[in-house]
Amino acid sequence: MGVIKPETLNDKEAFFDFLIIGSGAGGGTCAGFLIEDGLNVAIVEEGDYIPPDKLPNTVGEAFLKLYRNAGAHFIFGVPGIAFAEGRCVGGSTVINGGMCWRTPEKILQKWRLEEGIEKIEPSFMEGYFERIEKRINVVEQPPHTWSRAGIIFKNAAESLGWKVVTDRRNQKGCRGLSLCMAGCPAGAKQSVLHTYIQDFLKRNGTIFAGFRAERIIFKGNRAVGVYCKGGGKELLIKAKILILACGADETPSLLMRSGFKSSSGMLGKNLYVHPNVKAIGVFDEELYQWRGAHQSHQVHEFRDEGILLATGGVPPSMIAMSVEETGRKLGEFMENIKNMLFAGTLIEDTGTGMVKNIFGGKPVLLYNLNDNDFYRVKRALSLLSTLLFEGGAKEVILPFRNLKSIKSPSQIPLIFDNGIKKMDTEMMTVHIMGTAKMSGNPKRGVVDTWGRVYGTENMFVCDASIFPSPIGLNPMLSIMAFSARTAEYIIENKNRL
Amino acid sequence: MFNRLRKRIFLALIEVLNPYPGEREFEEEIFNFIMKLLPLYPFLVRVALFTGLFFLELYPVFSLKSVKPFSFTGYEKKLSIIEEMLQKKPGIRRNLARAFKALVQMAFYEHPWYMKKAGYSWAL
Repeated sequence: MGVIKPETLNDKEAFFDFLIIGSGAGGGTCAGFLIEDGLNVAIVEEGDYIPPDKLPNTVGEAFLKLYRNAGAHFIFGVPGIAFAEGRCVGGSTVINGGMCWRTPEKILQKWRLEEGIEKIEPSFMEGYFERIEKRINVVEQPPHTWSRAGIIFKNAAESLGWKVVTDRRNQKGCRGLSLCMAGCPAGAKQSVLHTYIQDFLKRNGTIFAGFRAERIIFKGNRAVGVYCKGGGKELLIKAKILILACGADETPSLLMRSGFKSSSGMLGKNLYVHPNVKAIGVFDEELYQWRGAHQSHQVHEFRDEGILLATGGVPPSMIAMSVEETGRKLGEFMENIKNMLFAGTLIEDTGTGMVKNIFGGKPVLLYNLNDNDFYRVKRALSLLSTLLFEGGAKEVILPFRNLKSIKSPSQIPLIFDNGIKKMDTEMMTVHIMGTAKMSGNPKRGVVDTWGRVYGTENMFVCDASIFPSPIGLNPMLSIMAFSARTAEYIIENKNRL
Repeated sequence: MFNRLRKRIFLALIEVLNPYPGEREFEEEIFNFIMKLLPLYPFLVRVALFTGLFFLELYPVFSLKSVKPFSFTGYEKKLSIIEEMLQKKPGIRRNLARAFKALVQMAFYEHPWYMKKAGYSWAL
């Protein structure tokens, strides 16, 4: 049936065998697997459907069309954390950097041992990873697309003797525009929109784009339909099997506003955020970091400590939003932007937050960084500063209000000064997870080992909210693999569900 | 009238946050872009920005920094008010100034004038 938008909707009710709410890494992949089996599947997506050849070519336009809340999303707590996620058909896969890493074996083993999750051994998951990597064309970022900044980052890490890896990304013919977060105007990124969603549409799948799922309708322990609104129109979609893939904020929110209660008490809790902080190296050399891939390398040397280091080429508007300077001083700062190397860290956090509903069901994210994780943020910044100075930086700009920059390696210990508080730290994230935790034990988790919501017969979750803990790496491929695993379970058991 | 006042305050804010004070001809376009973004923001953010805008207008008077509201003061005065708010300890005033700063500066650096200047030819 194709894409149905509010302006083209004629009916007030629809029926499908399978209904997926959300079309990102989880929902889109699940839809692709289900429709391949010839099933009658529909997707409901709150954001708009923008064909791959009509994606924006500026971040400003992308904020308007592709991001939830036009990019102004926030996690409340100490410190407050800026957060961005997609809200369009294809979800965050349309706006992310496209880094594709398999779930680390130690994480899979941890989930197996601590949560009793079955069938997630690396040998079992390998088949899913391989199929998905083939479909979305996961390849090592080719050298001709590395930015000068990326090369300096890699060389500095190697010079320090640290393990540095070339990114594996889902792209075909990357032109190194550094515009991944605008959806890739070159059309090179093989997001879910470009791959599984197009497969889905070719096989006559139906996408209701621009409709927000307001409430799930239950009959006993079965979910029988979803009440949706969009563009002033209302729609009731009934389905035999319901799959939630709205992300780690909206999935628990939808369940809570539908009156669902998890007997584990874990719904909306266990929020992990992979806190990110940035550091900017100022070089004598002109780097033009945006001339090249958004990211080409990551330092994996400190992953056992839960620390990941990487570059991050982003457009000037995003840089201007996040630096301290203002007015004329910002103008002067931005004149030197071509000499700057933007890098960041990702922390595998140990503390958790929660999602709560306010004002009739809008999710609010609450998260306080714990002392242990804050120490690791500082440790990560000290490592990043070491790397940037090794690469030739004459100054490193830091994300602290009261320590704005350091000018030599001898000043790195200042980062650990007790006077630098969490509240004084600029932090952001693009990964949230864990709020509908998977566990083999119904007392500990919201969904079972296959993603089925405990207490229901026919409702599944296919997004990052099922992760019992953070994975310490970009999570897209993990979300996709777990969704594919759930989709195959549904296909095998469709007559019994 | 309400909309005119809002526009006046926003344009004053854009003037003072303009990274290139000599280049003023596209400040109205920056305002129009911000107006497109605002309705997409979450309800609480819209309320905070809207209330904050009028708070900012009256802040110089309440804080005895000026007898004139924000949008009626001169460039240097406006700049000192914003810079002072940004230097405050984390709290409402600082967060408000940071939110306005992020919004306006993002819009400036998305403008084709800057993109061309920086060599972002694909954005034109």
